[in-house]
Amino acid sequence: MYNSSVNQNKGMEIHITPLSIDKAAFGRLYDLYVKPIYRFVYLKVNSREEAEDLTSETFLKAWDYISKPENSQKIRNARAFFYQVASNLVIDFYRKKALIPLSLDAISENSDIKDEKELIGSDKMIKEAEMGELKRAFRNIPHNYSDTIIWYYLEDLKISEIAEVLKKSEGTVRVLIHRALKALKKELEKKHDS
Amino acid sequence: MTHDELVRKIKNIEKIEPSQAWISSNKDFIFNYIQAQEKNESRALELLAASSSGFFEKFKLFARGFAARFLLPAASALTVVFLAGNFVLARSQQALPGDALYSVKIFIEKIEVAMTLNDEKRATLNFELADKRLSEISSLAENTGDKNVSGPAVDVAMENFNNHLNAAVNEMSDVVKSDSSTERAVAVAKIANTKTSDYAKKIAKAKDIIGSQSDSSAAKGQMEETIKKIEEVNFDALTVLASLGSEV
Repeated sequence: MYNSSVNQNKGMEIHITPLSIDKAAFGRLYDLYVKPIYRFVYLKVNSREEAEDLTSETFLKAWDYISKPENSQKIRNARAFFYQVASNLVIDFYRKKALIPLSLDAISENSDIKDEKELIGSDKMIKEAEMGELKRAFRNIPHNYSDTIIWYYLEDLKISEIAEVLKKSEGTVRVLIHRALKALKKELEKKHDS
Repeated sequence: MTHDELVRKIKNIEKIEPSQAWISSNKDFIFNYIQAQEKNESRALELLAASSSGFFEKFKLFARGFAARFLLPAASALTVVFLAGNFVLARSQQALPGDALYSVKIFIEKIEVAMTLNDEKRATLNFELADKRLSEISSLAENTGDKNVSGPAVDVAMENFNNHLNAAVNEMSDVVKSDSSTERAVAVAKIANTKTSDYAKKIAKAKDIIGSQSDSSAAKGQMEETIKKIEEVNFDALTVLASLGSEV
């Protein structure tokens, strides 16, 4: 059971009541968040397979936590919670696995393209190149910068929600967003110039 | 680049999404897990979902006791494996150290060992699993081409290898000490002799692969220790064969 004002628009919050969440409710949460969580993770890892595995693990860990009534009481915002779990898993992933220098070719591998909606001809080539550049740029800025950009600009999380995930003040988050965007722009322009 | 241009580029990322097939099969896997958990097969599922830092400790406690081993119903373990879904199980078999599904692969192997009631067969299985661990190191090297093999990933494979080797040696010792027929002891010792000769070659090859890396000294040291252990096991196996009057 959960108390929600759910609709399919990504901007809505879902609050979990102190009752333990049931499977049906968790299923709805899965349907709502699997794509954004996948997208979030995909930008940080080397391949689609790794993104799939970590996304799957995010929901398993989330269930293990949420299914206990004493834990679900602590969650006020399901979306922020899922992002927090995913973020921690990505950090653990890189801790367990030493960073293997990734060739630029690997970043722009075709697995990126399979996830995109169908594009035609030269549009496809341009989009492929842009996506590769973006992914490279995201990987070259600090985790908290890339996380913040994704949450604020892609997932339309509010400043207050980002503050909850990062456990920082809203003022700090605003500064972070500004710095993150600046860092990303610098990375993209660096690549473009070179 | 203006702010608006940058934001527009960022918005392009919205196009990234997983395949619908994966979304559905992954949902099935997750709900199979939840269902199995509700059926109170939580012990096995706890291990499945445990983080790697707690995994081996929990499993050792679980498997150590004689009663624990035989109280794990074969059907229960099979149910866990079944409910995990073919998709994840198939994928986990290809996993290498460092991959997210590697712990699932190891867990499934642990179930297989726990369900093998015969100590001779368990010894054989552990020798085979040790072999698998060494093959993983070769695969790690192949997958990264001329780049450095991940040190921590090699450490995980070597630790798992040592666990299997130690388990196999203990089982072999049990078989030799038991009152059962000499044939079983000879069979296990022959496998140990063959496998350990093979291990030594594989580890020597792995040492060459990582030997050129700048941070390889710790891994090389560990491998040298492991080679010494393998030589001891090989000697023990030959001793058993000689004492039982069998040819090598």
